[in-house]
Amino acid sequence: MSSFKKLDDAFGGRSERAKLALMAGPGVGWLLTLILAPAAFLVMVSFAEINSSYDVVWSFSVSNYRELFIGESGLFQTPFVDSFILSLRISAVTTFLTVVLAYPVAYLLTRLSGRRFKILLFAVLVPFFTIFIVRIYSWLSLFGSQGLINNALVAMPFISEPVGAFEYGELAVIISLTHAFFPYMLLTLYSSLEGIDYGVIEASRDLGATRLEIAKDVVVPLSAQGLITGCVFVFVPALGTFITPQFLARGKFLMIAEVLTGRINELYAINYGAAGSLFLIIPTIIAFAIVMRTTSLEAMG
Amino acid sequence: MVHRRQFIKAAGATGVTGMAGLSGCMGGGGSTTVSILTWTGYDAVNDQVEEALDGVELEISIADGSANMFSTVNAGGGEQYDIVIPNNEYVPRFIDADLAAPVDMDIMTNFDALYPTFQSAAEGQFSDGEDVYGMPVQFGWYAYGYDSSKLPEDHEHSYDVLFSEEYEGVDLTGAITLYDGYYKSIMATGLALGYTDAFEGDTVSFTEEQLTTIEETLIDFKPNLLGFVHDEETLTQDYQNGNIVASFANRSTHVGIMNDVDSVEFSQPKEEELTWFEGAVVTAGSSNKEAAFQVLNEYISPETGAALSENRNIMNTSQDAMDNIEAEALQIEPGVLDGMIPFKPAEKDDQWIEMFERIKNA
Repeated sequence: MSSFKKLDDAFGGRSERAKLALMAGPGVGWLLTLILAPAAFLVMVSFAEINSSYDVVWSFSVSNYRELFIGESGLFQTPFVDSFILSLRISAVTTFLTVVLAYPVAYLLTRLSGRRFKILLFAVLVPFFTIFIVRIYSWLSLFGSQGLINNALVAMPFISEPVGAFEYGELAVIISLTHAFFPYMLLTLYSSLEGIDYGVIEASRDLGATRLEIAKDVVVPLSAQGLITGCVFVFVPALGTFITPQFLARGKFLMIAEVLTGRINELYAINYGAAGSLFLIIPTIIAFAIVMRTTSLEAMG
Repeated sequence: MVHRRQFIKAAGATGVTGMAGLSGCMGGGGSTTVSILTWTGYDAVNDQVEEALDGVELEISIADGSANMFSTVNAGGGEQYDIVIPNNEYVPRFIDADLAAPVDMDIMTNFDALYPTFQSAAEGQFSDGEDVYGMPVQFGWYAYGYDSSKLPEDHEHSYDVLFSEEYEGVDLTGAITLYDGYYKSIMATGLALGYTDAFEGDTVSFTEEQLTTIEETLIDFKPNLLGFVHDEETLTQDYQNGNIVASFANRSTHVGIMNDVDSVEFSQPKEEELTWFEGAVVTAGSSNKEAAFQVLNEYISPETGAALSENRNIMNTSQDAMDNIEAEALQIEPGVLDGMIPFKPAEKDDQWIEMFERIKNA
């Protein structure tokens, strides 16, 4: 007797709708409990107040949202807005760099086969087998006025003092994030490029298209779905990153997750944190909406 | 198939086992479990405490910080933990919220061995005028550590070091770190600017003008900082790599750094150090108050107190315990406690933290 037949017998006599409810019920219950309930709590807390005893006072107040955007100096003159813009900028640059770096490697992977494919893939991915925090400490050694990069530069005859760009700061954070999220972009692009019929590229070449034209007019449009998915997979986690700036920015600027964590840890301002988190979700929802409109599940790999 | 008799036997055995376990937790069978919410490192002396106090078992939970301790205990009505050990400036908050039980001084036989500074603190900051609600257990202070191979030991110890591009002929450009926390960094800047009057009341209360000057000072000086850092590992690496000359952080952090970097020393600034101490509170909702106070008494006993300090690289509030400590880095100069400025709650927490965020993003 097949498993499906046994299942059917077990539900014997019940309607299709009842069977569906019985089968999907636990999963839906799980989702409601662990996803929707905390999300609802987040929304409720964002409108609540916290009193001096750190109790949540349930009310409907927009003061937390006002605090995010209205500062002492006026509208949008708040640390939250500054950090939000900075985080968007860092995430956007990180996403762009991963695209630029991952595209050629992904394309190369599609052109290789057998042992050479495996060696290249292994070589690209092996750094990511180490724990994230260990990689952060490696970056810590590379940057700074006495870091390996600056020491190497100062050893050159034409550079007399450490180069400011390689101190701890925004560049260090962007480079580290690009390194951290590179595999997400690479594997998504590879999955998309691998599906391209290379006969089309051959045909373009036969018709006189240059390499640049082939890349621009054939390869990129045909892998656009993978590109969009890869961008979302990099942009969203980069936006909410916490550990990397903690180490490599040295507190000289704050990304958005640091602002929210600081308020919660230092003041137990979970209402402020909840309101800020909801705004952090907005770019994520927009990004996913773009993906859902432009990409099929198959193309997402 | 399970027979009825087998089932009854198994159920009976399960019941007996369950009751035994339950009585163990509740103290009915002999041992009392004292549940403690505290910082890391306390579990290192669990065996010692349990050996000293017959029939007491410790269950340690670690919290992220004092604010987290307060919110956790407050949310649970103070019944799930017998002891909570926040920083001293948070103890008044426990008292105000009726979460702290009055200290049973008959059990606290080691109280008289506390340094007079901490006896006074318990009777002042931890008192409502009638009863004492907290017990100082361990203490430390914030000042700056420095690389003595670059900044000589005999330099004039002052917080000015942290706000100078050059100090006594030593180039400090980009070689300073401040603490990555609004409370400590703002207080240190205030002290460097000479605002000692702000530390005199029950709270640290800078005037608006003083806060503006502190903000401007930190923003102006930020390009000269390597950054805001407080964790031991990062600072150790920075000292090893020669990235920093001076760092403002906890003394215990620097004691850890000194174990790895020989040239690092800790200062004794002329403006005085900012002292913190851990104030242990037995919760009002505890059902094991007697055992809980016995545990606190053990934490400041000569032997267990010394072991606790050596494990955590933090000094004990008990003079007798400190006399038993051999580690050189934990020795303190006589009289060092006399002029210390104890941590007090900031008068305008929200304003301070927003100001610190602005400084960082400037």
